[in-house]
Amino acid sequence: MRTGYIISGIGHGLLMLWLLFGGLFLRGPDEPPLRVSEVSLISGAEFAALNEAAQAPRPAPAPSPPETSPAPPRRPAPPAPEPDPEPAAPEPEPEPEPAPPAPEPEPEPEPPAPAPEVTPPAADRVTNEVVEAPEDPLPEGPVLIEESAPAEATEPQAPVEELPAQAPEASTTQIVTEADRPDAAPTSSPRPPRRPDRPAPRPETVEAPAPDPEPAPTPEPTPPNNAAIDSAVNDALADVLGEAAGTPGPSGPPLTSGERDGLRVAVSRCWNLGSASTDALNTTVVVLVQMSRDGRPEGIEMISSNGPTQEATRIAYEAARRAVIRCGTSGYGLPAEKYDQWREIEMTFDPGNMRIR
Amino acid sequence: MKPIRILIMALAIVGLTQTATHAQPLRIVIDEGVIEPLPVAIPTFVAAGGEAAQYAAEITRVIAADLTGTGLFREIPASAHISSVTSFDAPVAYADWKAINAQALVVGAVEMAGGGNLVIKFRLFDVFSGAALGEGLQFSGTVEGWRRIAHKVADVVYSRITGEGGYFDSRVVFVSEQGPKNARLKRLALMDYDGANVQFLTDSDDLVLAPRFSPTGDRVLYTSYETGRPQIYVLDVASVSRVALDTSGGNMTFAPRFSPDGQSVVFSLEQGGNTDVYTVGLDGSGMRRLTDAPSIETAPSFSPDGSRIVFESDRSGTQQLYVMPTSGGEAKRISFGPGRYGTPVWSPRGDLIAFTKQNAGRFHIGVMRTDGSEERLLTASFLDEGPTWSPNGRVIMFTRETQGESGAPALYSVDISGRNLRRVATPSAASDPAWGPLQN
Repeated sequence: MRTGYIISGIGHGLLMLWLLFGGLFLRGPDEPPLRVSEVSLISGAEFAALNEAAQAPRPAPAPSPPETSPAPPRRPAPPAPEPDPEPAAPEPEPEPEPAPPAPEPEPEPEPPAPAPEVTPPAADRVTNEVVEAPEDPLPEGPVLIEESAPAEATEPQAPVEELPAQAPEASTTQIVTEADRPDAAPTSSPRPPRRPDRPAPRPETVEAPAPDPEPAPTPEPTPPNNAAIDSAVNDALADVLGEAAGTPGPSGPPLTSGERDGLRVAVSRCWNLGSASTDALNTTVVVLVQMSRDGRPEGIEMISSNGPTQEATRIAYEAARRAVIRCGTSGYGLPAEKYDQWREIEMTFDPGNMRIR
Repeated sequence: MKPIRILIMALAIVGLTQTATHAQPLRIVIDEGVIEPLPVAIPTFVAAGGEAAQYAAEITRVIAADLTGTGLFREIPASAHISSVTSFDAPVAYADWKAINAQALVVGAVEMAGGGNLVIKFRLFDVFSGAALGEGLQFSGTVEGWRRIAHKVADVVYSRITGEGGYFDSRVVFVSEQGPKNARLKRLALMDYDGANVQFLTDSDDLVLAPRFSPTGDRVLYTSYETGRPQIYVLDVASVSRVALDTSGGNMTFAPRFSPDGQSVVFSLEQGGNTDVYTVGLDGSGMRRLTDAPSIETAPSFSPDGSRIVFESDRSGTQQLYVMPTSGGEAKRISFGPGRYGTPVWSPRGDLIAFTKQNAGRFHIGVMRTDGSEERLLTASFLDEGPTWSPNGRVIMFTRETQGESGAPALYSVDISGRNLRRVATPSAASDPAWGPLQN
């Protein structure tokens, strides 16, 4: 008996010592540092849609990007600009010196593959504006007369081929705004094609419950109209699924709040209302931006506004458009795998916090 | 079981339908931006010939000075330009202007026409949109008037970018002052808004005060002491001839201002130690008393629609601002802050009233809504007074006098946001500015 106790005691003691100090000698590999990342809650439907999208073969990328001339070597960037400081107090101050030239602030990483951009048409890059008709001559002092421009000013401009090297960097010139090309705006949304008609014999099977020559020997009697119900439900499901599959709606996980904030801040940096009228500072505009897969704005149009005047709305829209284009020149860095979420972005520009008070 | 099955299927259909209809764009709200001058590139206008080149450089310089002087634009210096504009009709190299962050581009050309005239044409471009802003325009005028042509070009550029009317092709009448502080010689003078082309309208024999432009800019009201007491005169700017305003009586009259239609004058008249506001036709007809109080009512100013008059009065014990109908009658006090308020001027837009405020030993130029709300003080100094509005209601010019024996008045301007305070260049000391309308 005693020997058994001793052996048991020694054994347990050794076990406890090993548990206490064994870790010192048998330390495993260091645990990876704790990483914290944002997650997004998505619904079951969205998760299913994501899985489906992941399993389904991705649509092949654009078969061959349209001819794009190789990007010209970047010109040496001029020195960085110095924003004019605003006077802190309304005291007289000397004339601000002209600020040095302003380069693009963003680093401009060139994409490895040529983006599927379309070279803007020649007319976009040429001014073909006519000059206004003459108005009343100025009566006194220096005689100023507004009059029509000479004919050559209104003639079609030189073809753009003369400036092929300018096109690649001027990618934003291809942005087609509603104001610029109202005729080019789509008049209706594309609808998915109709589901193909079902085979003809199916209704017969539904309509022939009793005179079935070879009824299946089922132990329990199946309701005769079960097939009809199933068929109707299947039809409805197929219709809905067909529509859902054809709708270019967002699929996959939504943008995280950080990604949304990043986009918002990026646009805010370029939203300059410094030259806007006081009326424009009281105007909220909502614009719809079509995005390309590389995160650049492709098209922009105003969908609503609340400006006190048409002119104020125009100025507010132009400021918003400049913001979207300027800061999107190099892309907004949005996650490519969530493209369906941001292929269209509705941006509300509300200057409520920037009004002159 | 069957109803349950149908119910489940129906719910599934509804769910799928809702999923399908959730095809909405990503929505974000941007409520914070930046307020900074818009970078604009103004390459020297293309000149056709050697003589035109001289004017092209000067005109370009004036346009740039006009735009940058507003504080709303920042000129990108020519040394930073990548492209050079050698032809007015050449396609715009947007990429080059984008590379230097030029957001607006002004391209123009100058050529000499027959008879000593200049022809200037220009276009304005929104660089990042890759499109022209409005149509091209052309001005022609005499070579002597090249500054006006430049101001007109700048007005168009300013208007197209900001959405507000311009104010560069306008003039200011003011009191030019010379000599020591205790023996100042004062003359009425006229200048471009930027201080150029100063012309004197009166000699320095008599004290003159408070000139005011007519709505069309062809006449000036002012107060002169040439008879030993204040008297209002109407001066024709073109002929520099003047007549006394007939106010029917030998009383002291001062602080005149035109009605919006230019056909009548509202002014102050002192009689028996009491000062009230009156109105009279330019020909001396229809004189009417608008206030009748034992206190001092003065500095009246019409609203742009001519329906109301704002003036200052000490009827409450301190100098405050009041608004009354043009026909007179009950006046409503609109200033209630600490200190004293005076020299109110209605904005050409009709939405604001500018004023001088004295409080705690400092003078301020401020603005408030026409009901007295949203008062904002734009300046603060030893002595600021006498605001006058630019034709577009965006800028206020006023007199600032420095302290001490060597102190002298000078003209300053400030944006109604309170930014861009700057001194207006004048050849000598200056006070009492009155901004005229845009010239035709």
